[in-house]
Amino acid sequence: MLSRVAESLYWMSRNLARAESLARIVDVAFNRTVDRNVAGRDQATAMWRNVLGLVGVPGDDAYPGGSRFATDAFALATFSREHHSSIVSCIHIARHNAASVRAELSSEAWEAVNALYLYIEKQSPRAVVRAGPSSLLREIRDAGVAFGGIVDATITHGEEWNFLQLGRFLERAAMTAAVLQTHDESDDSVPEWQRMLEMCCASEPFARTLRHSNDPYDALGFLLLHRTFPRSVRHCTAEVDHALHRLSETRPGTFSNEAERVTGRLGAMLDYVRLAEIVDDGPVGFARRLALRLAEIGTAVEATYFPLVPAA
Amino acid sequence: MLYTIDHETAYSYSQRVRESYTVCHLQPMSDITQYCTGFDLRIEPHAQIFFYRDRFGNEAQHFSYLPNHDALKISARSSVVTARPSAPEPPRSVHREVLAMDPLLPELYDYLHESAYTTFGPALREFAAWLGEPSDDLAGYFIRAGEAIHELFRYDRDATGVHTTVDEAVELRSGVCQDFAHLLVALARLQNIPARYVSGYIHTRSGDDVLGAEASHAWCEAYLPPYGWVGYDPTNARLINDEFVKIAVGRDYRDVSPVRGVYKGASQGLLSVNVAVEALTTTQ
Amino acid sequence: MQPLLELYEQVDCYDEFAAENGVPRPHYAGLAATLRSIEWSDLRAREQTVNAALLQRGVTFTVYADSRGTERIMPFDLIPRIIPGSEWDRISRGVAQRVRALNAFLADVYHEQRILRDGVVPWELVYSSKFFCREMVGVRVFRDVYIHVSGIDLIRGRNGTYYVLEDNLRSPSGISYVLENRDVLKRSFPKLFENYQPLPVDDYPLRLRAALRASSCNDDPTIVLLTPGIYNAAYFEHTLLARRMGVELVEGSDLIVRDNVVFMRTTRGLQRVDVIYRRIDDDFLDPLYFRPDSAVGIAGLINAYRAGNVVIANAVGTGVADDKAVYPHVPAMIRYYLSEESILENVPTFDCTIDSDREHVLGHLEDLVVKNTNQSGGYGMLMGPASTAEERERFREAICAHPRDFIAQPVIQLSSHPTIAGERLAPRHVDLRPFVLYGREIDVPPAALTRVALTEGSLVVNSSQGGGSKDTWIIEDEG
Repeated sequence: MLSRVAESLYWMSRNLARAESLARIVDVAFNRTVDRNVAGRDQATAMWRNVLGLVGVPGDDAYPGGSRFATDAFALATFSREHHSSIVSCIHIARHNAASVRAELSSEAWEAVNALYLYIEKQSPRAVVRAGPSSLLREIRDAGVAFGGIVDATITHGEEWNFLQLGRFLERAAMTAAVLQTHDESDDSVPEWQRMLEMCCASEPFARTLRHSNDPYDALGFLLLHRTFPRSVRHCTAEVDHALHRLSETRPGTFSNEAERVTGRLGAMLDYVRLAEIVDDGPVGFARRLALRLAEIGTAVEATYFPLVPAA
Repeated sequence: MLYTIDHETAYSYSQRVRESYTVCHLQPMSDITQYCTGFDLRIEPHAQIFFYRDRFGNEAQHFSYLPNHDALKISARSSVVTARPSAPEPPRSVHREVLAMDPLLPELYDYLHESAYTTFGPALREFAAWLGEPSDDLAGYFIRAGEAIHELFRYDRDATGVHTTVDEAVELRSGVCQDFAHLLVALARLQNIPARYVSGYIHTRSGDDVLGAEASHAWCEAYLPPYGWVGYDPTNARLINDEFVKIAVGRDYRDVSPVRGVYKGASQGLLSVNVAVEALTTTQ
Repeated sequence: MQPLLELYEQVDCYDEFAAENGVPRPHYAGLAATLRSIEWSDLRAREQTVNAALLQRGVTFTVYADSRGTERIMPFDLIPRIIPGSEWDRISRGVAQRVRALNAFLADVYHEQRILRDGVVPWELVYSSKFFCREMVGVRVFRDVYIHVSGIDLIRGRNGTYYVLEDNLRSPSGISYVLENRDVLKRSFPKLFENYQPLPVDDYPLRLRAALRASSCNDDPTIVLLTPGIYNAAYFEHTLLARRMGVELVEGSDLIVRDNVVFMRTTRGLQRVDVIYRRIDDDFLDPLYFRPDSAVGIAGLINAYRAGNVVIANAVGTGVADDKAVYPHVPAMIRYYLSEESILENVPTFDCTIDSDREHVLGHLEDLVVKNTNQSGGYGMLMGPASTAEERERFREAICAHPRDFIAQPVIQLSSHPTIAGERLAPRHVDLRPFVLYGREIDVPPAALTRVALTEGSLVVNSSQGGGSKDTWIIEDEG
């Protein structure tokens, strides 16, 4: 398979997963700000700053502030074309990549990406703000989730699909790690952990798994280490590992390239680490190091399968 | 004369580049007036070198270097024996009818028409008008034009660049050997005299004041039957003698540039060229 | 019932369908019967089904001006064009002969140049051609085959004689319409189709692959199709051919030259490439030798090519043979290289570099078609009879300034064919583009494109100028 095609599939998948996750995060953030019971104004400001950090808006300077801060921040995170990680940018990148590999995609998959693109293109930020952002964000979220289902159901689970899997799970792991980095370590209240669970679509699964738990570290453990929750970092890392081994046709537990080595190493750490160690370390610091490890996997995937300079 | 020539071309890049592809015209030619007895080309970092003969009959060398790099050095060393007289006889008058009847003439289309660097612009035409008609002696015209360039133009390394056109040089009344060679080529072609651009080297004997010795040199050849190709150096106002070493001929600089290439990367390359021509013995 | 056929009125030219007395020609009798038996509304319904199918299959060309890459289908006319076997036989022998001579011409001008030395074709003409590729002088290509794929445009004059209007020897497109038109039409007229039994077109991709395979000295070469990318107007055709041939569809950035050998970048490392069926122009192939700003090319490709390490199909530099100013010399080439007379005639052509021809052209601009030799696709053309005085003046100036860039031909009333036009069948002008493959031997598959000028009276059939296409049925003669 051509490296360019693999690369486009990978980035298309990553960007759709990212758009989906961001839509959920922004939606939670927005609901929290308008719900006066939940957070004070300062807290809300801090939270939006974190969310804007996720889409690449740096520090205080770009933050709009003012009385309409929630809607301004929402508009920036969703519609900004300058920032490569805004929701609209992710959808553009995904569509661009999809167009260049249309021949390799099923027509259903292409149409799903294209429909999402056409949908976001005809939105006017002002109108969305006026009507409330929920339905827009829901559309995006649902389209992202549906895309995963469409490719699973319409594309042969061969090389192409494995690159889609790589992108999807690597991005999910990265987004969960990113949400954990938004944690205010001085606030271990239930609402604060509830917020992070919701941003990772984990509040209901968590409640079902660990009924009545009030221990914030249970939530931390759930988001990081749960074996089967589809957005826990451990689960996503394991899926990345499976996809890599299917691609190289080598035995799990061994490695034949750098991507497999760094993924296997991270997977082993997550398999054997104690939650208490993470808590002692500080969850935010741990999440930050995790993000670096995940970025390292991304770099290794690129160098292995679509190197700029081919290996001699 | 027996010469050893070291020609070093070095590029350095402020940011790393990759996939460099380079074509060189660095090997002196072998014909009845000179013979290349040895040629060695080295690339740093190491790259495999390939050769081909281009459509002008020149030897060309090429190589590629794919990994990231921030410098590229091309070192050529050649040994050449020249067999031209040190004071060649100027050709006697060449009539237009003789040229017109020459069987080779139709094949010389490319040497009779404009090329990228030798366009017939207004400044060139004006200069040609001032020079006057060749009347009945094409060889005389060719040399007269070369002498005029030498007299009227200032040798100035800062006045022009690699991509200067003939018209620009005429307006500036200055330039380097490349510009003067292009100008003489264009003047000859404008009068329907086949002319080509020659790249090569010129040797400085100590105490001798020649221009163009510190790098590769360039001059012009005109097709003047029955003498064949006659070379004249407008930079130093002399017929080509045993002080010159020919590398390649073509329509203009673009066909014979010593080193040219493409690469991927955002960085602009910094170029340095070093040429040393050493005369070993005098064959008399 | 609507009298579909009764309203069909012939215009003043050769009509493919009906003889001068209005009676359908014998090979159209079956179609005529079908058209008499179906209702207008039925035809309309079938047309809608076909268009929907074409759009759904993505048989589209991209409209450049639109940043969103809007895709449109090339208008497809439901009424098939039918060519009897005996006629096709002559056409296929004619285009094969022509391609053989043109190929010999290319091998000659890039090597010995005998035809120039012998004064049959002027030196000046070849060397002044924008498409004469000097890098190719002295470069040997395998089996001396330059023109692996070509499309020869034919038109019919008033008495039905076929003329060659143009040779397309660079990267002619249109075969995807032939393949897709057939596929959808088969479904709309199954009965008629069964009665006619036209020769199949769907093995074209395999015949193309066979030709490309034969172009390499390697027995089992790795073939790729090189496309400029998704924004190219013919991208759909590129994907279709790559898929049906079972070869990789690559862009310039997918290929890399290492140690004078071409490779493609795959997820399993570099894989050697032996044959490149390229659908990009010479100018963009290699930034080292041609346009340095080419973003779709492959640096070092020409070096690998010169060394014989890769086949480029079509060869580099074939454009000199389909230069419109070289066209008038093709019959002479056929005599010179093949010692044969042309099976298919040229349209009489005035060469504006010849003084007497130019005088004639300038004196008769309103009667002639003037074509710019550097342009194609119906651009840069003056249709004399339909032109304004202002347009003629512009061309007059251009011709005087650059005579080498223009040729002129008398207006030929292209043959007409029944075509759906609004609420009736009307005669519209058509041409014919057979495709010629050349690997080891010349192969003319029975897959030809009929283009139709959908505007009443128009003689321009190019898709960029509002042309459509028809399915073309080549049938075997009875007995």
